[in-house]
Amino acid sequence: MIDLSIGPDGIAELRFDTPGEKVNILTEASLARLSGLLGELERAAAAGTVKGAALTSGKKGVFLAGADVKAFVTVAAAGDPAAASAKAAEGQRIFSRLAALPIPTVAGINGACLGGGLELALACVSRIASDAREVSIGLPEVRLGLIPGWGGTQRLPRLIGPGRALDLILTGRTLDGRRARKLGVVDAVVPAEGIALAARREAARLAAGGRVRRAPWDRLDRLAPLRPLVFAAARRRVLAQTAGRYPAPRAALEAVSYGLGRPLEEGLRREAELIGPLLVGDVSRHLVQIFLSSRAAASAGAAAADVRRLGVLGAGTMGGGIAAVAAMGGLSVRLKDVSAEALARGMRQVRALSSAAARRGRMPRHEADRREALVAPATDMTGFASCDLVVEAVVEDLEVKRRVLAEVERATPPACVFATNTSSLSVAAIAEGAARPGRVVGLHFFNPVEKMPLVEIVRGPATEDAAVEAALAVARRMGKTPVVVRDTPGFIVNRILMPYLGGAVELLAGGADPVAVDRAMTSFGMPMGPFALLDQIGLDVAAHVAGVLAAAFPDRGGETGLKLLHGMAQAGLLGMKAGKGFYRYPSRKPSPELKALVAAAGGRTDGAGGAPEPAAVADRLVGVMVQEAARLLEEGSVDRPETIDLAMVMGAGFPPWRGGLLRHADARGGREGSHVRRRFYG
Amino acid sequence: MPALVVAGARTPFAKAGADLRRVSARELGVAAVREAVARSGFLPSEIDAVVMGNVASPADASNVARVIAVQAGLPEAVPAHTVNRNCASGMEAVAEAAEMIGSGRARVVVAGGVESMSNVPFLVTEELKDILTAAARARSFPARLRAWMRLRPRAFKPIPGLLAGLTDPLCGLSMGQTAEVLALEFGIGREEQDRFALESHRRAVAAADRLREEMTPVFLPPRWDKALHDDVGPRRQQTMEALARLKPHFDRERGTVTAGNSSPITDGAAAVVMASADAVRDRSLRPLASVRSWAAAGLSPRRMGLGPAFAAPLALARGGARLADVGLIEINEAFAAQVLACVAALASDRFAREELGLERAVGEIDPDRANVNGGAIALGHPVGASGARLVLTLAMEMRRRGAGLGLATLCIGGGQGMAVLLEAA
Repeated sequence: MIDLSIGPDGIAELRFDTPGEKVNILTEASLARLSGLLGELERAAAAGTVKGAALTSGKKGVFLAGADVKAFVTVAAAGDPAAASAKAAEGQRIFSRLAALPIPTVAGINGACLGGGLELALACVSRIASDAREVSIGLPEVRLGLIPGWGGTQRLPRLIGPGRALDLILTGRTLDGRRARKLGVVDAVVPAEGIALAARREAARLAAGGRVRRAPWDRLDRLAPLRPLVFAAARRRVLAQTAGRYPAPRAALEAVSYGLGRPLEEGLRREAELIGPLLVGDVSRHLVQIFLSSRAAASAGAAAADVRRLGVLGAGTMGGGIAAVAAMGGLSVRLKDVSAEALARGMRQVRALSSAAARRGRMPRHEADRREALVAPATDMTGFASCDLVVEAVVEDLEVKRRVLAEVERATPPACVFATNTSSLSVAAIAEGAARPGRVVGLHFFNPVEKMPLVEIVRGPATEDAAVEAALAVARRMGKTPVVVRDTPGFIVNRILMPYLGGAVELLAGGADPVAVDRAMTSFGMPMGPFALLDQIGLDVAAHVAGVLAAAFPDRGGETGLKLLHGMAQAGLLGMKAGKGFYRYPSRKPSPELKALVAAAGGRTDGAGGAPEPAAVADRLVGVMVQEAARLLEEGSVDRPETIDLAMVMGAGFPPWRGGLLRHADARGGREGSHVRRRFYG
Repeated sequence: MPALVVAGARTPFAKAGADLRRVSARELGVAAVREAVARSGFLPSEIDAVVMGNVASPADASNVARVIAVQAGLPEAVPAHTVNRNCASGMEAVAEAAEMIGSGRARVVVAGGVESMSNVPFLVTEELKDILTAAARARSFPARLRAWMRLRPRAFKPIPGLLAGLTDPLCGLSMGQTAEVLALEFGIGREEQDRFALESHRRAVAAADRLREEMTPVFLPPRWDKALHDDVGPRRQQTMEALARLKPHFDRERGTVTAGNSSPITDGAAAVVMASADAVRDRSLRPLASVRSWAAAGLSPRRMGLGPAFAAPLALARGGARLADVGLIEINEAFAAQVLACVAALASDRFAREELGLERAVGEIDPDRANVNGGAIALGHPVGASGARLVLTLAMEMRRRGAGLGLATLCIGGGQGMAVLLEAA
């Protein structure tokens, strides 16, 4: 796990290499081992047999990925904030011993160096990073509702100044070697091939009296007179960013501002105090749960055969987006559409994404160029013979999809998987008449593909496991979080969202003010209200999907709502794309035609339900979603409640700090909540 | 073991300075290679080597084949090199691939050629070069100042690299002037040349759909919203009258060679995937044609356009075939005069005796079986790519017509000719 070797030159190497794992993390056991090895180093340094030490990793692309997130669950379950603080203090003490070693220490960062991993590196005298693409350096604790608890809020501001440190801690963003060097987090960037040797040499250089060169003006804002400016700006940003819902950023701000100007030990004590309540709090518990679910989803089926070449049919918004994201993930792509002009649209998306990746520093220009060139455009079916999976993103029409499927089957070898990016058709219906129905699977991307992290993988009645695994492999290569669902109308996200949107329309038909309903849901934590969302989807599309679902589940009611949707679509209130829907755009004021249309659909317009209690609105609309989620689980369309929670957070923007739809219901208790708890969480 | 041509693709060709002027040689090559590999049915990981022809070595990619190979998605482990036999570079790449496959050194090879004549750099004068070097080497400010003081406006006169490249240092003639030499030697008049040029356009226009089968679209900067998916060169409205109005370009007084009966300076790339019979069988692919033989030959640089009349008989002899057996011919139209001179030479007993050491003429070239889809006068002649384009066009047309034997040949600046003999696979 951690090996200590001492070279003839008196330079020790502390090498992290957890056996049997792909990554190094700081578990209880590895911390204990580190503590023991520090003892050895302390003695050797005192005896003069060791002059310097390098900290390195034996894993490719990972230095130390951070603390063991699963351990957070245990700590949170104990529910004792004081005990949680004590746990953090324990880690702090070990890192402080590293910092107190009388010899120079150098971290050789060869890959992911996150959270606790960076805090360990910060306890070294100097850090050097490799120039590998895998290098990502940062303190992402705030994304799990936490703050760095092993000295990160203290040592980072002391190294690079509070302004830059707060930027990293509050956003949780990560840096590659070059950017980390620019901010002063690392002192040098060296070629990846020789990072361990470079770290040992640097330790030897420092042991021989060499000095680390750092620009003093980088930390200018540590000076007392400038500090209030820095913190005032950070405080404003935190408030804007969290709307007061996430406690961690405020705690981070407090830890950093308390620690500056005080001795390190006092700052560390305050940091440990602050993290305890966060660790046992609901927000962090929920965010950790979502994080663990998405990590499990992303690694599902990882052993299955990889997809080497992806075919994409249709170069429109979806097809072009899929091709672009796949190419950026390093997949070789064959993209087909009917004409060069149609292809140009898709190829433009590929260019846009690769330029953005280069511009934002996600990869160097030459790498973006290489990935962009992975998309080979075509106007016929040549070149599909070597595809392992072909995803269609053609028009949403059963006949067209079946025809495309037959065409693909003729052009590809028997093992090739056909994935349909349908959102409203049944995979079974599309696969009907297929020569190889077992190789047909649903692969539902959300729009825009490059931004939405979720992919629904739909298993039809005939779909073979290997086809699902191939779809999982594609999702993984594209960096998406996949959830597997059975072939049910609307799959997970749309099936749950439609009754929610329907419920909102029913409220409107009952006389409620749409603005008040939207506001109730945004203050619940949804990224936008149901009417704003309907306007974005488009009222014609929504009416169509609602019709499909109403046909599938005829006994659910909601006729008034459906009638209203159709009425609006007919009146040209199609939503954002038409400049008017429930709201007028760009003014975002309610459409004046709405009242008459509600009346025509048989709803109330007397203003009786005018301004409903926000909490009641949220309870009612979330309740509708919970009901639908419960049905999905009961009928066996989804395997676990965590899958629904993950899908709703990633696909519908359900507030992650509530832990997902069913977690939220569970926590709320009440009728639906206890029902969920009893039946599904056990 | 004969090498098989499995599949191929090329970019549309565009006159230099036109649609493709902002697309680098590298990007043109990537489009052609990526598409050829995609069409072949082989996975990128199955490619053993890449050979690309290129003449005007781009300054930012000296081994442009390597840059193209990696950027086209082939694994970094696949070796790639660039070959230069001037105008036959793309054909040289095909020959080298055939050689590698024939000797068992490779199973699957991508061969092609690329040229962005729009992007041939302008050179600076020797004078400016000296000043820049002196200034860069100067160790003190006064020394640097002294270097800059020597600067005069005339030092900035640019030297177009392209013009330098199209003038032969061996004989001092420009390529067009060598065509005038042949026109005079073989007594080929202006009208004959113009009629040949007109026919090239007529055939290319009529063959637009067939030619499109060879092509992959190229998307155009700066907005990437337009695609080029047809050759720019072929003129639907070309007429004898229009051609007759053009002034001779290389010899203003007595010349016959005009911009209208010469191939335009062009941007483009072409690539074919070639493989051994085993490799094709393992993947159950249907190849276009197989390579029977090839040859290159040298001659006086002043008569460079006559190269095919030397190389084709050699390739035929090596392949054990006669010109009369060949069902389809692609002969590069650098200049109408030069092609017509080759036709005359091959049909001439005297030429065969005196220049080739053969007893009788090599044979007649039937105009109905040569350049059936038009040629370089209409399509263009991106020098490094043309050789591969001829092989690709020939192989695809042989498949369409069920031709048994096909010959692709071209002339080479500097005084060479090259030819490849294909047979139905």
